[in-house]
Amino acid sequence: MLNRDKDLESLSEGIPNMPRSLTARERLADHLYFYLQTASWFVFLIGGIAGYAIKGLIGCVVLLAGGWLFGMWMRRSLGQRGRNQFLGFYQRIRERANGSRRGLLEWLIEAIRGSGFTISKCRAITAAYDRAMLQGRSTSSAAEQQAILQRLDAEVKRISYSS
Amino acid sequence: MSWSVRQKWLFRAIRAVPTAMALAGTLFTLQEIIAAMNATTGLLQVLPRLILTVGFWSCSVVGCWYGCIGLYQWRESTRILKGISSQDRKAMSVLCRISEANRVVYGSQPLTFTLGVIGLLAALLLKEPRWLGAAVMAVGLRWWLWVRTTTPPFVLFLSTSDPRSIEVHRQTKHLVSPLRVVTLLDLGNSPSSKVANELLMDCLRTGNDDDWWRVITILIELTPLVVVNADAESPGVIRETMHLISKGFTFKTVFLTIGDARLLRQEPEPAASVSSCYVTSAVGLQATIEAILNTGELPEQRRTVSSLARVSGDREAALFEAASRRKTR
Repeated sequence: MLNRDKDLESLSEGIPNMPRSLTARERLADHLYFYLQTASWFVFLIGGIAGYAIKGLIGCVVLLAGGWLFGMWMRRSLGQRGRNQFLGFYQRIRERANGSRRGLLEWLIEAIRGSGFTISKCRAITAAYDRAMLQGRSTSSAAEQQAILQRLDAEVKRISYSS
Repeated sequence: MSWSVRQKWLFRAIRAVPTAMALAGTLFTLQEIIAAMNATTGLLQVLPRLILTVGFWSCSVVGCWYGCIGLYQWRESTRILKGISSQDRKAMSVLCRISEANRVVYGSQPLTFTLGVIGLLAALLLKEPRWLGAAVMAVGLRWWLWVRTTTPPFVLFLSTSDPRSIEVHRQTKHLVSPLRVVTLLDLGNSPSSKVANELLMDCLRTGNDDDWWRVITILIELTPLVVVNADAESPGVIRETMHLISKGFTFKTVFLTIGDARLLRQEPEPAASVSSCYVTSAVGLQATIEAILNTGELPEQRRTVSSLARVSGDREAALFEAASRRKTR
């Protein structure tokens, strides 16, 4: 094996604070998540086109609205909450820690990944988030707040990727 | 034919295809507008058709433009780099995935995919071929993106992330375009956001600091010409220089300086002795790159970059002498 091939294999994912490299299944699941997320923003267009093909202008309007609602459901089912992705992620994890069931698409992604957010993991992440927010409120220095967020990121990734 | 003249003509030829398409699109649209004005049907019935026509031609022109640019870069890179193996393309793809350039690429892939699917579905369901314009655009963009991210660079520029180095990157990129010039500079130090955006796809700065050294060694192996800023004295550049020398890559290395090449005169021990390295100014670098591109010969162990530059210098001097002799006659 060439040196280059060895070097390529030992490269990380390019994501800071990762405790280990991703498996092929995890990479596939991440791709699928991103594709589903993008599709959720455009599914109303597909609905509109299909509606027009089936029932003309009325069908177009009905399925345009239907597609828009379906896109909203897709995002919710993927576990997205609100517009702020950072806050939305922790909100969803808190819901899961409190016993909320997985969404259909969340289940699909986690099944492909081969691992998921169990209640114990979600509780640990929520506790880490609450601790970090408490520390963040007690300091006004931007550098210190940045450091707290970095530590939180590392902690969450460590919990998420533990077996 | 010299590299710059060849590129000028090739680019004109490439540009002619989408330009002709844009002209054809404008004519067809105008024809449709005139037909609509003459017809007795109302504006509301004609408007969707017109929008579809304009959309089809706009998307097709954009797709064709990116497709042609991708083809141009693919053809010229393959010619100059004497073929690109699938392993090299895979390596570049991995390097792009872990770099900051991935921000653009990762987002573009699902977007172009969705666009293509929408175009195809609409063309099939509505039996309207003009929706295929969206699919044409998606294919053109995807092809260009693949070529842009998987083509190994012609020049690797190693330096510290100061505005001057970013400017050197930009100038070298313009000089060798459509070939790639790759750096790992921090584009946050760019003089303007326009420059940063222009260089984003060619900046393989890693998101994870642990990868930096591996990325450097892979790129040094892949690239036919390495340019090192000899005025930089950062620990990173010194380590890169030591690696180039210890692994015997000086045959393809150019040390760029505007002053005293501090990197090669370091105390107590220089990173390299000046005599064994090819040290030159920005003008010399430009002449060296032009010489390599004009002859189409890449630096090798037996044919070092300095010898290629010298041969070209001699050839240019001989041509200049012959031209002056003809003038005096």
